[in-house]
Amino acid sequence: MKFGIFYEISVPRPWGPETERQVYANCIEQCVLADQLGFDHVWAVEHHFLEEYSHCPAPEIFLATVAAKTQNIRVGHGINVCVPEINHPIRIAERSAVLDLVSGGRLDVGTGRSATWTELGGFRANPDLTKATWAEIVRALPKMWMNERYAHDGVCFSMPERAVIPKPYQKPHPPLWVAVTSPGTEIDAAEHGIGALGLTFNDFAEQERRVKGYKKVLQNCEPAGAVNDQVATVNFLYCHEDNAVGQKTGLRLSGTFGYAAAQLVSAREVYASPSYGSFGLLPQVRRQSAVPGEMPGPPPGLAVGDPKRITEVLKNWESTGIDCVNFLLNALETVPQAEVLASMRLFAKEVMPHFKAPAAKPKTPVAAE
Amino acid sequence: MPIFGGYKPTADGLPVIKALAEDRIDLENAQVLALTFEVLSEAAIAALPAALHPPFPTYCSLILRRHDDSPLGPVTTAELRLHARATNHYVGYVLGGFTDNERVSAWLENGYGKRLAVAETVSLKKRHYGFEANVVAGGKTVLNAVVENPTQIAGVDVLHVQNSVLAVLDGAPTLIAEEFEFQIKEARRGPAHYHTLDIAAFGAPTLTVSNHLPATWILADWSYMPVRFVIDPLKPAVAGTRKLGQPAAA
Repeated sequence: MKFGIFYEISVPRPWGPETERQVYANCIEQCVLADQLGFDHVWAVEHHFLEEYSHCPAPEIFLATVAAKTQNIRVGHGINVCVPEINHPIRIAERSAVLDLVSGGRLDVGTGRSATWTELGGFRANPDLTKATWAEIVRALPKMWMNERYAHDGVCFSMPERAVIPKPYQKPHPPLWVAVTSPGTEIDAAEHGIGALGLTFNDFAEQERRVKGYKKVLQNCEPAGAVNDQVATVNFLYCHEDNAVGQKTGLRLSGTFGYAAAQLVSAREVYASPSYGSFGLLPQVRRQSAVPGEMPGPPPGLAVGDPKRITEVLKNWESTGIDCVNFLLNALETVPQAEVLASMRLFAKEVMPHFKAPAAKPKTPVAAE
Repeated sequence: MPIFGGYKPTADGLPVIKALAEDRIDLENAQVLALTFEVLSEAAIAALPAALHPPFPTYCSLILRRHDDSPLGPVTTAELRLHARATNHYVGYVLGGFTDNERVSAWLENGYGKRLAVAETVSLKKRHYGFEANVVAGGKTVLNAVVENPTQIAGVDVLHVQNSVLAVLDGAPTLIAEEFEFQIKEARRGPAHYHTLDIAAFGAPTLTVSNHLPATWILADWSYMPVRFVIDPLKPAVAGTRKLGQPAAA
């Protein structure tokens, strides 16, 4: 099983002139350490306008910086919002190709459609249409990358024949993923032959059911491009020698994240539409975060505590059939940077060896022409 | 930490609750129209009690609720709510509103601390093109909105959050949790067009409408619930929420 780190890049108030710069600097320092420790991925979200919760509207720039400072870790754009008012699909293809080139073929491309009115409304995008635009764009991207020239006459965008350049370094193209928050989106992922980038906190049985469903449908998929058959999930990570300290700090981390998430305006909250039948990420974090920074006890799937507990938790996750766990390391800087780094080091030393060879292998991209 | 509202109320001028609502009232076939719009944030944050978090964008819903039959007679209410979070729970903080039934006005004020002024006209009508909402108060039209060609949607897609009402309880300003239960039988959604939208008349003189959202209409069996929770408006809701029958936190 692979391990990644996952960034919303949350920035606590009050926002002084140095606050955002320092948060970005902390995140980059964590990424550099993650690379040295053998983590496999760093993912960064694309969110707009989500005060405190996520100050990460341009992950491609953050990830390019990470790529320039690291050797092996893969960089995941998780996700590109496939809504034309927010990202024209040609620009997604172009930016992704450049990031894949400058990272030496280390890019993973996540796709999605946003789940908040704050973002969709801010760009005057119609929530009713985002499922359709995602489906159209996710099938166009591989063709833009693989075909020398490409023309498109669709519903959400059209373009006369042009060469979308440069082409990605990985051939035929970087792995494609879709963010999975609402139940059933993993089936959409399977239907398109792309990876399921889980962003909700399911229980073990639910996760296993979803992975099985994904793998089953994948066998009969109509691939959007090259098949990426991976399933990833997200978790919090706080690892400490003392289990009680690890759990307490980890719960503060997850509770703080959830409390910040609860202040977002989901699309479903104000815009009645079957396109957003669930709150996505929010219901579970709301349930778990009625009190800021506190929770009654760690849920069985939460990767917080001492190495022994975290190993047991992750073994349970591994048994569900997932390929990767991506960790949120901090929320609103509630955990001091030194403790975050120490947690990562301890995890790499004591937990990772139970799941993979400790020495990180240089990732060799599929041979480029 | 998410920011809090900036309003620190005193008891002055607030409705005084004589006896909190203790009975559940079930009403069949209520029509409920929700007119939703964003408002500029600075004034909205200032208008929210300090117990509550604003969401971003800050937004309001103007809710018209029509009961053709009730123990107090037929009634239509129109109330403006500024949306917020009490800890992580959605609430609609009631700014003000109107009703066409004097007895209902007294019942809401006595039981929930919700002051809805009696107006000449408070109406929610089905029209051939959709729905029309009208409020005339003091000889002046303060709301005239139409929802044209609304499309049918699933009831599960429509949300109606609970109210939070500021009133005086036991001599102190208190946020009353006015809770509802409802079973949606039919739901529609469409764009709202406003001939008149005077939110100042609904208790929001400082707010500015900045962006309109689609309106929803539902037909539902609607229940008014006994009050179970109250919140100290001056403390973060996480510390100031009290279940009735239990002592207030120190």
